[in-house]
Amino acid sequence: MKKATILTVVIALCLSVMAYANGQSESPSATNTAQKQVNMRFSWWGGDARHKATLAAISLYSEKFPNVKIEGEYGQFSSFYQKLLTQLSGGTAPDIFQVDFKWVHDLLSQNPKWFVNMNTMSDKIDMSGLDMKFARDWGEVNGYLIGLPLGMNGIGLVYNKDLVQKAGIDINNNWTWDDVLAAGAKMKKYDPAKYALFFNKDYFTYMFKVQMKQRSGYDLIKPDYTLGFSREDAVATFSYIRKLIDTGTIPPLEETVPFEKVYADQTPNWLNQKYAIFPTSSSIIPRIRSASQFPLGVARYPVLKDAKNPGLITAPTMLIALNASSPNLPEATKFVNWFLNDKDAIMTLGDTRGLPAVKKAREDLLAANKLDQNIKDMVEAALPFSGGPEDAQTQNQEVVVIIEDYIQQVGYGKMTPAQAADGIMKDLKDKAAEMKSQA
Amino acid sequence: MSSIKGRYIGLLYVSPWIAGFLVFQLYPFVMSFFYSFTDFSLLKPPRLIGLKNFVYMFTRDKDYYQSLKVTLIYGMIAVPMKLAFALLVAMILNLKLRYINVFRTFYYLPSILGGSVAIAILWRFLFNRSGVVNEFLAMVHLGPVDWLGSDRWALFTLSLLTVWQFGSSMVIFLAGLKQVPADLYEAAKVDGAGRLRVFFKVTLPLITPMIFFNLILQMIYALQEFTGPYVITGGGPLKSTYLYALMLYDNAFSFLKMGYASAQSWVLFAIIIVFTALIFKSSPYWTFYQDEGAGK
Amino acid sequence: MRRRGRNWGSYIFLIALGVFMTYPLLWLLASSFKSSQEIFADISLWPKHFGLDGYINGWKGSGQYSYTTFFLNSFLMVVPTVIFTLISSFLVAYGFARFRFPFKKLLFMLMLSTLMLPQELIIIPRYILFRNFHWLNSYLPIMIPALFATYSFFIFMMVQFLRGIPRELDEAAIIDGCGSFAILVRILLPLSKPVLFAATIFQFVWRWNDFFNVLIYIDSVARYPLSLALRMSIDITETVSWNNLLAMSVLTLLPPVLLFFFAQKYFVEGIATSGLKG
Repeated sequence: MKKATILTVVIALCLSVMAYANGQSESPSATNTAQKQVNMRFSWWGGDARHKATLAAISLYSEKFPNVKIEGEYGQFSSFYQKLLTQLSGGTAPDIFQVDFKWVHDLLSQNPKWFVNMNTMSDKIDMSGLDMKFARDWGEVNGYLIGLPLGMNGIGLVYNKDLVQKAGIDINNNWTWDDVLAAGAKMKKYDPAKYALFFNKDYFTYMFKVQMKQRSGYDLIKPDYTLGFSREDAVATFSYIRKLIDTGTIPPLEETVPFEKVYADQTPNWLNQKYAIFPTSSSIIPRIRSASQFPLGVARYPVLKDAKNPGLITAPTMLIALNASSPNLPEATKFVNWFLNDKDAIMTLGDTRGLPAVKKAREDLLAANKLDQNIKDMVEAALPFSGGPEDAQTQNQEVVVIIEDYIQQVGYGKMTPAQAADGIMKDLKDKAAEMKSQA
Repeated sequence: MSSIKGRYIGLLYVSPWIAGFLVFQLYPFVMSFFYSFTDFSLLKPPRLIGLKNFVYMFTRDKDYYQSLKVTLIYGMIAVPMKLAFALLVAMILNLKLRYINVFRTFYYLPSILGGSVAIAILWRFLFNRSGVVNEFLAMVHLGPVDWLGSDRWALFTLSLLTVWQFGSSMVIFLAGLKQVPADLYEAAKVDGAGRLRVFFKVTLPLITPMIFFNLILQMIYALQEFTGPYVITGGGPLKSTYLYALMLYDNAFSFLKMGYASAQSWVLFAIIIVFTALIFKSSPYWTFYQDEGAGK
Repeated sequence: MRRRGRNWGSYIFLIALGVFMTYPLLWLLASSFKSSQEIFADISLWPKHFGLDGYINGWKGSGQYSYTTFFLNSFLMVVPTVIFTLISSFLVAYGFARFRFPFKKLLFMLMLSTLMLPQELIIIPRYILFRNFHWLNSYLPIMIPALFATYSFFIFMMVQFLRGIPRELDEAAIIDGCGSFAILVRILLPLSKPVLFAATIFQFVWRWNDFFNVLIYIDSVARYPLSLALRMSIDITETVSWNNLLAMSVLTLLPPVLLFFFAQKYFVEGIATSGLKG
């Protein structure tokens, strides 16, 4: 009896192993070029809405071109980069994939050969609807354009309409950083337990970068690998952060740091109407809206009085890139062109990748009433005050971590603004020298 | 103590592992050792740079010592707490009580959660400034404590997560406790030994192999702890929970410094080897094996 | 009768600690019945609006595949891996625990040392290795190494356990004319139930929850196991249906919980009752 059971198990195991081995050979990577049948892979990150819309678009494409089968490989954002790097390293990356603009510098400065230079594809992909300066500002290093923007993103303020009104805060599209402090004071007067503003980690970093650019006129690290700011600029910005905390405009970091990796939609004090304003980017609006049980408003991001550069970050939500070693490059290119420009594709995808970067797509969606008004307003408020492209060096992930670190040092009172200014200058100089030596 | 047959029969039994090691593990091992002497970004072929990674690690990387320090402290807090707790609970769950199997299951539940996405949400809820834990503390007029928000507490709070997931150590202890022959307990009872005395004279010595095992494994896992800081604190605040494995991950997959990360991981490897060797060397003085005959 | 009183103490302790230990899990369970908006705004255990939406909508997944697929995938991947691990690790552990052979200490240390290098770091060369085997996008990179006892944790655990079984038993069997394999199967295997069941539970739970390995090796959504599926829709910019996610997290917990519940009697009612030592 027992032996029979064991035998059954063993046989079942062998069968299942063989099934996997067989399954492997029919995987989409094994393309058959002899026939016209084309199997491609397309990877992206996103949530349910984006997954559904993209899958619908893909099946629409397959209906039009029955010989093309596209397998969607989708998942969460936070591990997407690791997987993409592994695939690039192993030569197994999908034919088409999404890229975040924050990775562009690191990827291209290491090795551009994995990606098709989109600058060479203008005869195959219709780029007339795209603002190509915008695309190059964020997707290009040394003449190499890694991908085409799918959506547009701009920073701004999202606020709780009720709470702002009750506290008597006049929020508008002309705020300076002094107005932020004034709003903080008003909120304290209205209810000392409430705060006008709060940041999470990402947007604290943005705030630092933006204010520094407004003070100095440059990004933190310039293309010639020198620092774009003076010590006074850094001291002033760190002092401002200190002031935000000391005046109770933002909550103490001890309170917000546990939520620094998430956004307003998961921050209980935002949902329970204790925090009024969240400086964020437009792409985050949908998730905040669906979680908040009160009306939302949007306003332009604060700009420094007498700013040398308005400094606001307007960037692609994501780029779409082609794998240079794809055996299906012509077909993949065709698909990308369709994905960007075809009317059916546009209507199917909607604004699941932010405000579309293609002009015609924006117009079509607006006409069909398929655009989120808040998102549109925030991007449109930011565009005239755009700080232009961020120099690629400043996007380096280690630079970002250095900024985060010093913001916390000041926020926790472990360093004075002056100490932090000296520290960050030294660290950024070191990092810039390292990047220069590798360039 | 004589072996059963010739000298090579043991090798035959061990051979599956030898084959597996040669095919699946040797190559990754050798390669990661090689990477540690290279500049390797994943996107370009590795380039040999000698000892530069190690020099940079020990002389210029200001995060390195912070990370090493908090990792060692974490190990020193989390491992003893977890083992003591697991053993205590295992002793209780070993009693012959009604519904004890239900209790065992409940106690094992947190370990099943692993690094689930729910953990991060849960932990934030429990341990933020106005979270559940502080509400309990307020009832006895304590706190509030910034469990995750202050650099003094965050590492300890992460250790609590490890301790909370004490299930696998507990199961190993339970299996070990069942190995203690019942007649030894009877004999001790006849001698009129009290509960504590039975524990220290009979139970504890006989489960030392399992303590030994748990100690080594939990030490190895603690020094490589990744999930907790990755899903909950992200290494902060002020890098107070920037555990070694998180630093490795950042270097390898955020900063594209796989060569440097490999060098760091081999230093961690050396540290773990030293600790393991120390525990092994000390084990004859406190570990008792039945296969070596009775008593010492 | 003295026992009764002490039992009450034990029960109180067990229940108090149990509540503390499982409070977070009760929260998880309760939240899976809440609406997405309620989850983050309200930390109370009792849902204001009790609903099964999370379970119904969650099961559908995010488009192409439902959780039926993901559950099946997880079982297809985990069950063979567990069985392979048990068989191979037990054989190897027997070799290490009961025999003397050349380089034994060195091999043992080598075996242990494979646990000491952080997995995140050897994932790239391993990925390239499995790519060369053409095993990517299948469960083979998880299953086949198990067949060759490369999950060293279990070897070490079984060695420690086998060393707790007196050798007199083996020797008696030799006198009876048993070969080494017969001793393993007839004497040691029945005595090793506790450790085998413990290993089953561990390996099952760990493979069930494993995220980083499957993330790297599995490309097709059709082959995603639960650990990938649960994280499939977490994005920074898009709304996450947390109630769906938490509801599916609860369901994902069920198989390991049931396994533990029914397997535990084997490692707690193991050999102690069989009157091992004479």
